Amino acid sequence: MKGHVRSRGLPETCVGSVILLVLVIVAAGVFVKQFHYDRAMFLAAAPSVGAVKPSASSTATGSFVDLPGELTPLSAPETFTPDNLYDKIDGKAELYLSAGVLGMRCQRLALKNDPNTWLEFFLYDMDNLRQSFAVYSMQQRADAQPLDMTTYAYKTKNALFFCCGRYYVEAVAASPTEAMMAAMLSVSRLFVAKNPPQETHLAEPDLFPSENLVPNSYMFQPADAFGFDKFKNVFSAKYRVNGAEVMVFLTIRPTAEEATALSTAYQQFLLANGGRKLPATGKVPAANLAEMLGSAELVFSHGNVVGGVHAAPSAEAAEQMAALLYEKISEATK
Amino acid sequence: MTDLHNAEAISRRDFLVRTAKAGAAIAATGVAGYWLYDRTGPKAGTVTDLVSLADFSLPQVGPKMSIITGADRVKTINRAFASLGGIEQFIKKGDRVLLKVNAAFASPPAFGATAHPQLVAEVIRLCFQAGAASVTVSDNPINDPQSCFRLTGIAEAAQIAGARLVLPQENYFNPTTVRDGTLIKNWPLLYEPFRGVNKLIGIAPVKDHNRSGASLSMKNWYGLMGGRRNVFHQDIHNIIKELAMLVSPTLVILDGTTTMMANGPTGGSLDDLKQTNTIIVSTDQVAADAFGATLLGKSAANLPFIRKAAAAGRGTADYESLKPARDHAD
Amino acid sequence: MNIITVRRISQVFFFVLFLWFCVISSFGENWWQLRGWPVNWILQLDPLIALGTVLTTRTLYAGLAWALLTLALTVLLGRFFCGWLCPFGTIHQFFGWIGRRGKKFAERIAANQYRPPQVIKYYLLIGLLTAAAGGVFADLSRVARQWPAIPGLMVAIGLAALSFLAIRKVVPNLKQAAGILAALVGGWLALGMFLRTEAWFAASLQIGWLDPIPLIHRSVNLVLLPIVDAAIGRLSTSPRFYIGAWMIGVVFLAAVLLNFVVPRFYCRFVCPLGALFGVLSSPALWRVGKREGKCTNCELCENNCEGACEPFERIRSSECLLCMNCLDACQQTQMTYSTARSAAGEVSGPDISRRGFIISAVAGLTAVPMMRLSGLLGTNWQPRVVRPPGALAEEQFLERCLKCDQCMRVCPTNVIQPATTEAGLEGVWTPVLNFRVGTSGCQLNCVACSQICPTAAIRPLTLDEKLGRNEFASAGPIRLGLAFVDRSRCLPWAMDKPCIVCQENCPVSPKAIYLREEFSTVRDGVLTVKNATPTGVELDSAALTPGRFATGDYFCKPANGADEERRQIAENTVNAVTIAAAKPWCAAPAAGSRVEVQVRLLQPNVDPRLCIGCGICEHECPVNGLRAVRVSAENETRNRKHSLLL
Repeated sequence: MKGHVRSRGLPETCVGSVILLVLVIVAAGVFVKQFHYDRAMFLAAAPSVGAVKPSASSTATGSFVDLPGELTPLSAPETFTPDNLYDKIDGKAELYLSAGVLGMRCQRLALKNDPNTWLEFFLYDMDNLRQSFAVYSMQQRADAQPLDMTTYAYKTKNALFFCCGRYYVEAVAASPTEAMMAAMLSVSRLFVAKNPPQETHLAEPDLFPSENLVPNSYMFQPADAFGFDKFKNVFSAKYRVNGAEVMVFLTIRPTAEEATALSTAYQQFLLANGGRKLPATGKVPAANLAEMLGSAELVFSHGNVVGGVHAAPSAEAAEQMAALLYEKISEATK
Repeated sequence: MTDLHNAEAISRRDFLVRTAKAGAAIAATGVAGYWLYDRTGPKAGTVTDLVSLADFSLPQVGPKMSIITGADRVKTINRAFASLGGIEQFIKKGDRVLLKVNAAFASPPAFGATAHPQLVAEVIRLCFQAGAASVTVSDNPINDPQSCFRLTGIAEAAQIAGARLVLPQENYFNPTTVRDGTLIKNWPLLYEPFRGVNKLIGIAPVKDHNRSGASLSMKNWYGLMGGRRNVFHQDIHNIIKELAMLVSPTLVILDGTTTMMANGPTGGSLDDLKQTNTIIVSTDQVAADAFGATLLGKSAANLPFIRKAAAAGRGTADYESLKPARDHAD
Repeated sequence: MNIITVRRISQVFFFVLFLWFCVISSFGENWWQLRGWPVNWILQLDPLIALGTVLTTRTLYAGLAWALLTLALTVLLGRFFCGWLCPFGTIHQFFGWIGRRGKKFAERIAANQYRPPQVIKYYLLIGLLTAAAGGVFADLSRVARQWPAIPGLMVAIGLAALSFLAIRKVVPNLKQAAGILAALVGGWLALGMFLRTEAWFAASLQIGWLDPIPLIHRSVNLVLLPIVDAAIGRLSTSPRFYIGAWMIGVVFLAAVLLNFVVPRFYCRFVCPLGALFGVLSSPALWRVGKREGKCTNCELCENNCEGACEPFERIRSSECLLCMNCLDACQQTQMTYSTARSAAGEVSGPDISRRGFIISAVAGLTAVPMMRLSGLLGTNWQPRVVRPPGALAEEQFLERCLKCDQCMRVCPTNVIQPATTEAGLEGVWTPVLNFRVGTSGCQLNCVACSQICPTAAIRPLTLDEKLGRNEFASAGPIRLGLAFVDRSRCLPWAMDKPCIVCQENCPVSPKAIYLREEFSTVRDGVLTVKNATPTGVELDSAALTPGRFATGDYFCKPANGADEERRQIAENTVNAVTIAAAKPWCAAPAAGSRVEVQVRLLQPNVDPRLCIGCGICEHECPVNGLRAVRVSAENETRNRKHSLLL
């Protein structure tokens, strides 16, 4: 009947309250549950790039590298092949493509307690240490500070770069904070520990004289160094001599005959392209000296090393540096 | 008053009974749930009734082979066993023997496409003579089993000799996997005739084969495969090798009395046959096949499956190394 | 606080929760998408699903253990699930309430009287459970034959089962029944020793037809949501289609509209889950009933009785849904929910007759072997039935699939469709893949359906297992079927038209579709040369369509010339053809000679070793009626018998 109000007893109210409490618990349980799920199911599986296999823990955290405690993925990992590297790094892709990149994986990572502080971790598979060194060396920043991650590593205010065997790693933070740098160091160290490089060291840089070397100026050009198509795997370094910068280069050939042939071929290349032969003073045996576009070029071979000087301000400077190089090579190859 | 008391007492007892039932029900379902709980669910290709064949070979007898010539199968097979020291070397009293015959086609015995019923009957008799407790004859034919066993005469031969004939049925097959094999993986095998058996003898005619070059004692085991086994013809030499890996018989008997020289395995014309009058009995199926090939005018070198089986350690293609006993039965 | 209010809150809560689960079942990580939401929770609470799968598989799969909680609470409290939780029940109650508004008191009472057909749901339950129990019967038959020493144990079990049944008053005389049962069991064992009696039994899980929880998931997800979302467009960017969904909608609509005939029609007459609860709640500890006291026979308690359990007279406890409307309506506070039985007496169990029990049990037991005669699990297997990745082989699949259609809801590309007749009667509304419907094929990097299936009919896969990587590399990827190029329809095969869309879209690496180059002279493509230049020919006739051969696919070759003499056509006018300047004629065709215009066709072929049957090729094929490349279930990994290759 309408209007009738039944008196509710205490037991009924109690039971009602308990039931409502149960409903609240259910709602809370459902709400909490939706945070816990296996992220690996939702992230598009990326094929392993090079030899980096996703470890069991890394798929659970949704990343292709082990993450230190303070970092968490901010976005899904992305994988790029040489064909679509442009989509991510645009024109810079040329640099990596010319050095023989096999693939790249990257992901944004953020600090767990501050998701607005994030970094992007790039992992390039360059196939071997030489090529990894090539891209490393060709983009060394002016404000590079030494870093003892691996043999070839440096950091800047908000980033760090290093070669780990065949891999070239860039970790770039959105903001230059200490916490970010610490986190980047952590994740990089974890990566190096997980992927110990087979090759850690290249022989060629040791052949360069150490005096007057501009720090962090090593470069490796896998092909077409100085425009000469026969100059493959050429290492170079910059030196400061009498206020001017001189580039010293060398490359190791399999045999002495090849080295001699290459040295001659380069000289001929220079002469064919507008160079003028200069007489060498003999500081360096069998050196080929030329003047090209206002600067001096010198090339020689010693054993199976082809070395030389590129774009020196004067013939004397070129010969001076070449002599030092020649000495160093002789010492090393004794 | 007492009425009220009684009513209360009844009600209380009823409540206790219901409580007990409820408790028991919850406990029972809880236990059942715990016992049946399966966290992970079914796995890929769960095969529950996988079987593997026992090793029926007799290493203590050593590798033995006899190559006997003769026109009369009965005499020849008897001489063959005699030259090996008698069938008692292989079949002991109380043994349960399985004869895997070739009954693949519903052809008359004269076509040489299947095991000859005379030979089958004699082998059965010899087994019983050696004291076997039972002899089973079986095969999974290509054509309809009933007609195959009947038209080949094997059914009658088995019945007269007192052997049990097992025709294949769907539930007689169990999946098997050959260890180190790539083809026979969870493949249905005619397993029912093997139950309780401790000796296995294969009986096969010597035949040419369009696909593999020859059908001899190792190819005979193809008749144990079930399912859509035709698919293995895509890789015929490797499947024969895996069959040799699957089956370790006590003996194989290769009947080269009338060899099908061409148009095998079905033949059909008597012109396909040649009277080579030889029977091979061997503990080594590879060696038997290597010799059997010569009856076809081929050599082990032409037949890749022989080389593969030998490489897999199933025997040797150099049958002479077994010092086969050679004799003639007239 | 009024218990009715709490009940309404509870019903609304679970109804909203259910709708929320339906809405967010889209694959993704945002809060309005799947994430970790426990979208199967209500299905997992359903004890009919747990019981059904326990009977068919002899395991209790993972989350279905929640049903034990429901069972325990039902045994203690009664049919709380029906009155407080079931979303389908909430809908029925709502529509029933609408239906009886404005009706007079006497009409309402009449509507809520117990009707004998309310026993039908128990027979449906029995039939469905015996159909599911076929495997148990088969196992028992096999045991009889293989272990003849166990008959005594069997009889003991039989007697235990008998006493269980006796409580339900199916068989009145215990001694006589024991004797009958012993005779039956003994006879069956004896028979089982000589005949393969297990061949008479087969198990099939068909509870999904009528169990309200899968039913309502199916109806809301496949019928209501797509219609509603068509206007809103938030759940899915493109319209979702579900083949044959009208049938699901009709069943749902019928069930809902029948509430205008009898309130809670489905709950009272059809629902097998309600029947299960009815059976379990007869001996419940707490029950609704009358107090000792002064009942004035006003029958207000039956005004809004949901379960038609007749609380006014001898209450039928197994029908009572705990709606508590009688408690609220009674002005004398005579109705109560307590541990004591109703003072006016109770009808303790459902009204199942022995005859009805036997008929429904036998019907359930025989239905499955009858359905299996069609051979759909044997040589008559249907190649159109391409099931989702991770699906079990058909026989095991039909033992687990609830037809809840969660997999169809979550599939990001809408290719999983409810089967109509393809998989037989057992397979109605089970998932099959249709690659024409939907936005793409089965995505390579998606295992959503396998993760959401509540009973592991589609067993949960990791991406590694689906793609055959790392530890699954030797097993290879999971294949749904195989693509077959229909050469009578494929453009490059049959119509001289270049097209490589299928090959371009094949997602595996290396691609499973490979191309073979073929040059074909076009229709009316043999032309007579008037005169030739180094980079072209002028023709006798002026019948060409300008620009037709300028796509880069056309070549010109002297008739009877060698392949090397073929040159790519750059341009054409009505009577002249210009070849690409980069490669002029080596020997220009003579005037009066013939040249052939040929089209370069790249004809697709499928490599069965690589094809995983994902159907993306079928979806993208531009021949978009009957596609020129179609996937069928040959070579599917879930059943080795369908393997095409070694």
